[in-house]
Order: sequence, then C-alpha cells, then structure tokens
Amino acid sequence: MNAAAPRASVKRARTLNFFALAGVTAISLAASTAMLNLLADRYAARVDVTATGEQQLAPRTTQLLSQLAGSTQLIVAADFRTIDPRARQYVTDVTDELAARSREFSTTLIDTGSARGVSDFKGTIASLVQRDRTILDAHAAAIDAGAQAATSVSRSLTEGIEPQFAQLAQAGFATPTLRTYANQAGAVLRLRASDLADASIRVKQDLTPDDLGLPRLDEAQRTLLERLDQAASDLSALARDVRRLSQDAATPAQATRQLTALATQLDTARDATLTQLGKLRELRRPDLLRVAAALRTGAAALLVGPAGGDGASSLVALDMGQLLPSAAWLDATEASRGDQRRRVEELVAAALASVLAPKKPIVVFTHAELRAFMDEAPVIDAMRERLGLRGVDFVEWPVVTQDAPAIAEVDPTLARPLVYVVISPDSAARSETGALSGTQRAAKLAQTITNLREKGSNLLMCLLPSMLPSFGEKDPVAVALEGFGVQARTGTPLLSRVATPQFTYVENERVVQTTDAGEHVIASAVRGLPTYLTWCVPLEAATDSRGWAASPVLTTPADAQTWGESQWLRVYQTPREQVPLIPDQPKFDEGRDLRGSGVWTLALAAEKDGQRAVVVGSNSWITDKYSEQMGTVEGRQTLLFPGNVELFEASVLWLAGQDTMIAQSPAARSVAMVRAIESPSLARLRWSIVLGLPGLVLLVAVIYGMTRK
Amino acid sequence: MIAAHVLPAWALARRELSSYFRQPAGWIIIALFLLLTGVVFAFAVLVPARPASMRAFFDASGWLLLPVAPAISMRLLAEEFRTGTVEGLMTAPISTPALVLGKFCGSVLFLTAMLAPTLVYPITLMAVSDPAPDVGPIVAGYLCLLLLGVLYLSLGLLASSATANATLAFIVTLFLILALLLVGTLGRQVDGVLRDAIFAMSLPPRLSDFAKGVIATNHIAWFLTLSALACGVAMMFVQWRRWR
Repeated sequence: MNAAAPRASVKRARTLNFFALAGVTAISLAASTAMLNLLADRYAARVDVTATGEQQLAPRTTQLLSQLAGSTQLIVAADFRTIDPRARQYVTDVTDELAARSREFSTTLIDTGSARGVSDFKGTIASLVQRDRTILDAHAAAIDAGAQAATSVSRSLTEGIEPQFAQLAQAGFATPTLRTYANQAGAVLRLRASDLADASIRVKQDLTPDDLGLPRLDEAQRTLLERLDQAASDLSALARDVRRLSQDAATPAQATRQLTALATQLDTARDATLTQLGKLRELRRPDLLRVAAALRTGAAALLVGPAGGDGASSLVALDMGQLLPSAAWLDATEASRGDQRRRVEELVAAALASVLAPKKPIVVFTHAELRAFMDEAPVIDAMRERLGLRGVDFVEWPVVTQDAPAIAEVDPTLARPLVYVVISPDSAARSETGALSGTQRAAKLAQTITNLREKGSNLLMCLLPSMLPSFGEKDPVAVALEGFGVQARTGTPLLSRVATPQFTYVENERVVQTTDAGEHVIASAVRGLPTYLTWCVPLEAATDSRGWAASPVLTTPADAQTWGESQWLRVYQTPREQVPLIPDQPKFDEGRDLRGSGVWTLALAAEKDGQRAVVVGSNSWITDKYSEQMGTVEGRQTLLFPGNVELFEASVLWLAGQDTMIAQSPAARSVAMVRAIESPSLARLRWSIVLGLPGLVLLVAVIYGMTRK
Repeated sequence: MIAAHVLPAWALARRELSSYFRQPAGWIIIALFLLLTGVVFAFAVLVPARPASMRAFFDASGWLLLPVAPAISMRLLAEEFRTGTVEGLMTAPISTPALVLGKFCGSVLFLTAMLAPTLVYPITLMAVSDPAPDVGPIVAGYLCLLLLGVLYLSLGLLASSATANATLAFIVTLFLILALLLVGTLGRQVDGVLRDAIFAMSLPPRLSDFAKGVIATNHIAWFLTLSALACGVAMMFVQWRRWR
C-alpha cells in the first residue's frame, strides 16, 4: 500500500509535467505562428503572374500612393443589388491591390440596399461633417451674416426709404410725373424688400441640416447672391434715376431736396448690399459641399484624403457610372476587349492625384455673347457640377462687354492655374440694334485669343463654322488659331448624306467613337467613348507650325458620304427637323468643297514650350443639351455620350498641366474569350465534364478493384 | 536524422496513400469531388462570350474542398485509435513527428492525386477559347488549391488526433474550416484591433488574390504556418496518447 501511494504521486507529477510542457509548447507554437505571420505581412512580396501584368498597379498609381502623407479612404456606397458582380469585382481587385501597396490607403464598401448599410452611410457622412465642422460652421456663419444683412437692408427699405417715396407721391407739390415715379419706385422697393426678407427666411431653412446632417449651404448662398445682386442692381438704377430727377428743371424745389436725400439713402442701401455680395462671393466652397449633391443621391464614391492645413479634409467624388458600370457596358467592354479593371484603377488614381494636387484649376468661360449668361441659363451647368466635384471653379468672361474677370475673387493667392474655354460666336448672327454683329464679335474674340496666346495662357477652343470664307474673307478666329499651329477649315463644316425611305438629306450631327487617334493623353482618355458633335469643323496641323506640335485627339473616318461643304449656311439656318424638306440638298462640289482622305480630325491638342491649346471643331458639345443626354440601362441612368464629358474634363486638366489627374479609357488588349458554342454542343461538353470525369474515375476504381483480386 | 524520421515517415505516407485506393471510399471521394468541381467549371467558367478565366472556379475552391478534406482526414488517426491498431504504431521504432507527418503526407498525396484530374478543366478552357487563356492565374490557382488542401488536411489531422470517433473528427474539421471561411462576416461587426485580428484569420481574401493571379508571400506563409501549427498540436495529442 505504501508503494502504491508514491507511484500515484509520481504519476500525478509526471502528468502535471507533461501538461505544463505541452502547454508551453502549444503557446510557443501559437506565438511563433503569430510572429511569423506578422513578419510575413510586414515584408510581403506580391508577384503578378498574369501575362499582361494586369493585376500590377501602373507606375503612375504607385507613385501617387507613395505621396500619400496621411490616411486616405475610398468610400463606395451603393445598392449592391443593382450592381453587376463583375463591376464590383473590378473595384475590389483594384482597391485590394492599393491597400496592399500602401498602409495609408483603405476602402469601405457600404451596401445602401441594407438597413445597416443605410445607417453606415449616414454615419460616414456624419463623420465627414464632423471632420469639416470648423469650415462648415464658418461658411454657415458667413451666410447667416449675409441673411441678417439682407433682413437689415429689407427693413431699411420698407421702414426708411419706401415711406419717403409714398410721402413724396402724396405731397401737394408733386407733379404727375413725380407722383407716378414715386409710386413706381415705392413698388420696386417693396418688391425688393420682400425678396430680401423672403431670401432670409429661405436661407434660415437651408442652413438647417437635412436628414443626412448636411446644411444646404450652396442653395442658401445661391439664393442670397441672386436676391442681393438683384437688389443692388435695382437700388443702383433707382439712385441714378432719383438723382437725375432731382436735377431736372421741371422738378419742384421742395421735391429736389427730398430726392437728393433719397438718392443718398439709396446709395447707402446699395453699398451695404454690395458689401454683403462681395463677402459671399469670396467664400471658399468647402470640399464637402462639392460632393453634397452626390451624397444626397444615396450612391456615391468618395475619396477622403488627409485633413488639410485649415482643418478641412480633401474630398473628391468619383463618377459612379464609370466606377461601377452597368452589365450592358461591361458586356460591350469585354466584347471589345477593353480593360475595365485598368479603367477603375485610372479613376481612383485620378482621384488620388486630385486630392494630392492643392491647386485646382479655374476655368474662364470666354465667349463673345453680349452679356454673361452662365449663371442665368443652364447651358453648361452639368459640366460645372462635374468639374466642381474635383474642386475646379468657373468664372465667365463676355469679352465684348467686359474686361477680364477678377480672378482674385475666386483665388486670392492667384496661384491656381487658369484654363480659358473659348466659344466661337455665331458669325451668321445679325446685329441687334446698337450691338455688334456676329462677324464683329468674332473679330473681338479672335483678338482675345491672340492676346491669350501672347500672354502664354492655355485655352480650349470650341469652334463654329464661319460664313466669311464663303464670301472670300478670312475667319478671324481661324486666323488667330494659326498662331497655335492649327488650321481650322471653318468655311467647310462636315456634312454627311443620309438616305431614308422618304428623304435623302444632309446631316451635320454625328457620334464619334475614336479608337486609334494616337497616344496623346487626351486621346487615351476618350478612346472608344461615344462623343456627340454638331457642325464639325475639320482641323489639321498648319503648314507653318510655328514651333507648335499638334496631336490628334478625336478623329472620324473619311467615308464617301461625308465631305466639307462650303454652301452650308442654308442648312445651318433651317430648323433641324425641316432640313430633310430642303429641296436641292447640298452636294459635293469638286471645285469648292473639301474631300477627306483617311480620317477627319475633329479635335487637336497643340503644345509649344510648355504652352498648351486644345481645339475642338465643334461648339455645342460641351452644353448640357448634348453632354447630359441620359438613357436608362438596367434601371440605372447612364450617360449616352460619356465622351463629351471626358473630352472636356481631360482637356481642362491637361491644359492646367495636371496630366496625372486624367483617367485613361479602357485600352484594347488581348483578352481570352470563350468562343461562341452552339447550345447543343455546349450542353454535351458540360455534361461530359460533370458526369464523364467522375464516371471515368469510378470505372478506373472498378478495374483496379478487379485487377487486385 | 533521415533514417530516424524521414524514411519511416515516407514509408508511412506510401502505406497511407495506397490504403486510400484500396478502399471504395477513396475512389468515391475523388468522384464526388470531380462532380462538384465539374458543376462549378461547366456552369460558371464555360460561359460563351465571357472572358476565359478560371477565377470563378478558384474563388470557390474554399467551398469545394470543404466537404472533401474532412472526409479524407477523419480516419487518419481516429480510426487507428478506435480499432487499437495505433498500439502497433506507438510501439514501433518511429518517432511521433514521423508518425504524424507520415500520415499527413499520405493524405496530401491523396489530395494531389484527387486534384490531378481537374487539369482537364484548364485544358478544355484552352481548347474553347480565343486566344488561349493566361496560364499564370491558373498556376496560381492550383498553388492555392494545394495550399488550401494542406491547411484543411492539417486541421483534419488535428481533429482526428484528438478523438477516436471519426465522425466527430469529421464534424470538428468541418466547423474549423467553416470558421475560417466565415470569420470575415463577424469581423465586419466589430472595429479596431479586434477587427484586424479577425480579418487576419479570414480565408476568402487570400483565395481571391491567388484566383486573380497574384501570389503573395504573406498568404503562402499564412497557409504554411497554420498548417504547421495544426500538425504540431496533433503531434502533442499523439505524444500524450503515447505517453499515457
């Protein structure tokens, strides 16, 4: 019995020893595993074994990643039920590779089709708002101050100035003219006061955060700017009229004193209004507001860069339609062997470049119309919005009636690159009374173009045909463009013969889809994208290049049905739907018309000693009417002519010297595709694989079993 | 060293491999695996007018091996424990590491033999594609399949070494593999360091890299170190039984 006790205790001790050793071993093994994996992650090497290196990031992307100085996050929010799995896979392929290359880069995918996703989306926006709280609050405070000033001006009009006009109208010494004028002036003042008070109320509502936590600061600012601008204009006119009336000999002496005092008060009110206008115009738009419209749609792709020096984050919105295209688009891209993965990488890289580039360009929209119209008429609103997402601002310059715009209002540092987008005037336009004709405005614009070239400015020229060459004269705009080494045949725009069962007529509008215009970065950006152009002016490098190197960007094949027509004016002046009814349609005339060989060049990029110019032989392509035509594909709204948008964006960025921000289009590459197999053959092949291989294995098993016996 | 460990392990591996083919179960496992993979290849890869890529096949590999690997590994040691034949092995002049590794290598060789017929798929794809598909991602995909099989079998070996019940070993292995496949879903519910730690254990992102043609050394290290850890713990279980 005594021997059994020591044996049991020895066994117990040995058991404990064993388990202790086993425990230590297990912990050591686990710790070693963890350590090895940490080291492997830290010093990981990734080898792309694809033949084309398609999973490798482009050198430009790798360079941009290396420049990231802080945490940069790509947030993609969409209802994944509507997203093609291939599109999502391309995005995750690229973002996985980016995250593997840079610890600063991360991605968040939010499915807004799920309840949690919606909550995550709102949470993301809330965190962005919080991040930019300082600048948003400052912006809101400035707008609020503007609203209060508007209220103050409104009060001064209704309580101070308008009663004096009413008094004047009822005064015994008032002449009928004076009485009528005083009543009218009072009505105008009441209207403006009401507008300003109304604006203040609307601004207060807009400053209240919406369900996403975003105040509608843009709308508030726009409302105030409109109303204050109108009020300033009316007050200025009133002050001028009142002063003139006070100096009129027919005005009674008692009225003269009152009118003089009223003029001074009107001036004071106008000055107060203008002061507020100036302050509001100087406000720098926070990045979060640029992307607010995209956020409110519930589907957005944002690149959030590190916070800037002023506490605000750098935000760029990516085009969802291009980042996550529809199944139809992917089918077409794959069929044409386009590299959609590379396209996604380009989009993200362009956004990275945008975040890293502190100096966003300013577009100076330059034209020869009689007055500014950019803010009044929605002609290029969509283009402004798209480029606005990247931080690009627009100013307008009607060269005929105004001097060059004060860029300092938009960019106090004057460090941002300027890009002049110049629109040809309609040379066939008749002159209104007292105004310049189309030809005169063209001459003025041509002078502006020459001045810009001599200053070393960069410009995007959008051409219209000119009727002057038809009369043996030179188009001044075309002459000015020769200074850039570009020859524009503005006298012979392209027309194409179209034959239908009812009519044979000429067509000026065309959809261009260039695939082989060359390797210029803009050509690469628009490659394969449908681009809608009207009244195309053929372009070529001038015989005397003057040192300019010109590269084609957009081309179209020169077929037998298309020629440069010199007698185009009649077609131009006929409404489009009536063109087929024109008797005696224009025909090609060997003596005066232009026949192309090979291709027609419709857009050129020229460069000399760092100065750049892009010339597009069409005018209306940048307008919303053509660039924003939408179609519904698989329940999603898609741009029908994305080439218009891409051409404009790429041109502006190239002209601003920000080539790295230009995303390239899917280049054609050799993609292995499964051949089209007839259904019966396909079914046979599939079932022979599914059942044939296992059957073969079982047969071998039976044979093996039998041979063993 | 070679005489003491490697030669006995190799002999055991060969014996284990031949035992799979001596029984109908081994052939049936191969046939069922080919049925499963055939369905995926035929209907997810062999789609006319789509890119000729086996990516969908390799992306699904984690799930394709899920029912098969536990079936291969469940009897490795559990059956020996149940029938008592392990006593002969324990008393034989073979070290515990050699015993465990021999069993493990035998199952890996069987897995390799099971994967070999699937080479018909890329050959078929090359025959019906224009131009021929990129070979690089296919090679990467098969490397992934092999590494995945090694990991699954090591987990199965671990489960088999811990119990004498083969069915229990099968179930435990199944759940261990499912945990690796599904842990990423759990990771999305948490934040911070815990999230990173959970995602580090997740399998699908690693499969995806191989499937698209990227061979990452950290993924290879992950597969091999986890397999080694599982085999190491299995050795401890066997040593415990031996010692007992």
